[in-house]
Amino acid sequence: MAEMSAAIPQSQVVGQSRMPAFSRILVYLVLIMLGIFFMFPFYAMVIASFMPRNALNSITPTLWPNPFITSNYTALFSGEINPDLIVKTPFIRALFNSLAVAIGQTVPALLFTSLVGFVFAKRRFPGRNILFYCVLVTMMLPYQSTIVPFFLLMSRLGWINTFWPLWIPWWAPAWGVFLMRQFIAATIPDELIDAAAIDGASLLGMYWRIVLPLIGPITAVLGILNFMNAWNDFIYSNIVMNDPNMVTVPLLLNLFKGATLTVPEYGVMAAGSVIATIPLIIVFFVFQRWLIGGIMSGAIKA
Amino acid sequence: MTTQNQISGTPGLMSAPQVGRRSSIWHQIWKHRIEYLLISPFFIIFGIFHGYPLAFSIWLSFQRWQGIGEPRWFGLGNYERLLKSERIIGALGNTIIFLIILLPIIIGLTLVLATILNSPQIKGRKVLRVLYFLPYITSAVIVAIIFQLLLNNNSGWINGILEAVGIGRVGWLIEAWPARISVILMVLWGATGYNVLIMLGGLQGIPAELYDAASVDGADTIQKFFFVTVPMMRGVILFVGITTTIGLLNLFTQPWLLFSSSSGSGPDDATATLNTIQYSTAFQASRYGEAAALGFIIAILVIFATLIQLRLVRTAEA
Repeated sequence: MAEMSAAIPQSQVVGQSRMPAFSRILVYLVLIMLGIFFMFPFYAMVIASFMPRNALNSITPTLWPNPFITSNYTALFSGEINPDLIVKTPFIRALFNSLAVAIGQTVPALLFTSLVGFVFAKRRFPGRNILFYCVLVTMMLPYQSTIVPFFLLMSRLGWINTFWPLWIPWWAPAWGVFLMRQFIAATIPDELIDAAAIDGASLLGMYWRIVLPLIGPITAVLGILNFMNAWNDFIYSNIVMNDPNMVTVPLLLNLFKGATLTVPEYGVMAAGSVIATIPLIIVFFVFQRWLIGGIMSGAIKA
Repeated sequence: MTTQNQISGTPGLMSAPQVGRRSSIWHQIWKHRIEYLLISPFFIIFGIFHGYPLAFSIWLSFQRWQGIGEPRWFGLGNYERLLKSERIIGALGNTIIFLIILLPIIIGLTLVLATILNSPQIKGRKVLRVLYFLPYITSAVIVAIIFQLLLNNNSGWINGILEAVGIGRVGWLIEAWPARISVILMVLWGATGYNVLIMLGGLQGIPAELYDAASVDGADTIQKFFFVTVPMMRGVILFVGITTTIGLLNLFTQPWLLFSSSSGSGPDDATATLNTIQYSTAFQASRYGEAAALGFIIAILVIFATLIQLRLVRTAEA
């Protein structure tokens, strides 16, 4: 089901008679309406970030910023948003925390999963199958079954309000090992590994010189998804970070949202949302081809 | 993965006769010490942070513990209380409502959309593919902020538009059914693009000859969809069905963040799910034993649903 399949020939719906004009207009109408459904919230986010508070909380909202202001962004970065807001964390601090979480989680995870994926794909040793089944079984279990002890373990270790709970446990993601193993088994011929062995390469040498240079595509896909999940994470960050200086961007925005203000600061939250989304959109467009290809080949599970 | 030699990768060594007949399991393990060494960091982390919490969780679910003092043995007490609780039954009902409404919509919508986007006659389909996918990369917290901005009762943009066109205001975030619809819209917004890509991947595996043959037989576009596309996509449809079901049984961030003031329960508990109840039981009420038990109830539901749908796959493929 989740096997990485080799390039599937692009099937063209050939021989299909041209659509009549009426149904073609209908199809485009549906596509455009759905496009509006998917784009309108982004539009609202960008527009709202340039709108003053009273316009956003007016009973007759406008769909265009009038007047157009940029003070939401300056307030966000100075931390001086609203005197009634208890949280004063400057946004740049949250950005730094998010970046630290995402990079510190993704880079070691890629290293570990590719190494373990290689050993599982190309080496046979006692206990290999049992160990791999252990990894597979935890993939099927929903996170709810372990989140309580996870939190208790982190408190016991004294890791609350540090980066460790968002780094170390995620260096060993089961789905990453699974995908790496599938990819390496399917794309790297055994002969290459054998040849390296004859040349006297060590296991680590094979990994470094043969495996690493050949797993670019899967590393890109896993890297982006991992980075994205870490950058957007709420469920785990929320339980291990409660010091205002350690919050990530989603946590800070959520604190703004949950603040008991009589009139919510939608403009500032929208500005923060715009800035938090931009890096992901850039990463997405740079790696779009691999990411979409990876998902379409059925390789990636949500 | 055929012979021993290929896997071990060292034909010269492997084809040599085993050292005597004392090649015990320990000898085998010693010979592969480098393999174990390389995977050990992963498995140490995996064991401590994924294996141990699982075992701890099973134990904890039979205890009564609020985080202070020693846990007390409670037997099946947590499970018994949970299964009798009206909030849990209500949350299960909400989850079933979400499943019944969202599962057919997501499968139908993504299959039709993918079919349209796979047709070379449609211009701009690559751009549309990206547009539909973009919500998937947006943080749930941000999505909740935007949806509150759009859907809140007094200053929400949607109510502003609805009033301007004469429909009138809807209590999106303050009435039970509109609140459920808000959550449903939020899920649809985030999940469609991803599943369209999965469906597109499946569509590209259908041989073009099948469509040609159908054309020769005089089938029109709609007939081709139902008699070629749908049967050929059975496996992919079931895959999307399974992952969507699991996702909906795990529904958490959308109701939790949209209705944060009521810990995700929403108006009249209309959007409470097992997960929102578990999260607040654990991290707001500190009733850890009960939350662990609820975690296992969710896990059992997820595994059960997966097994049923895998059964369906096997029946469909047989």
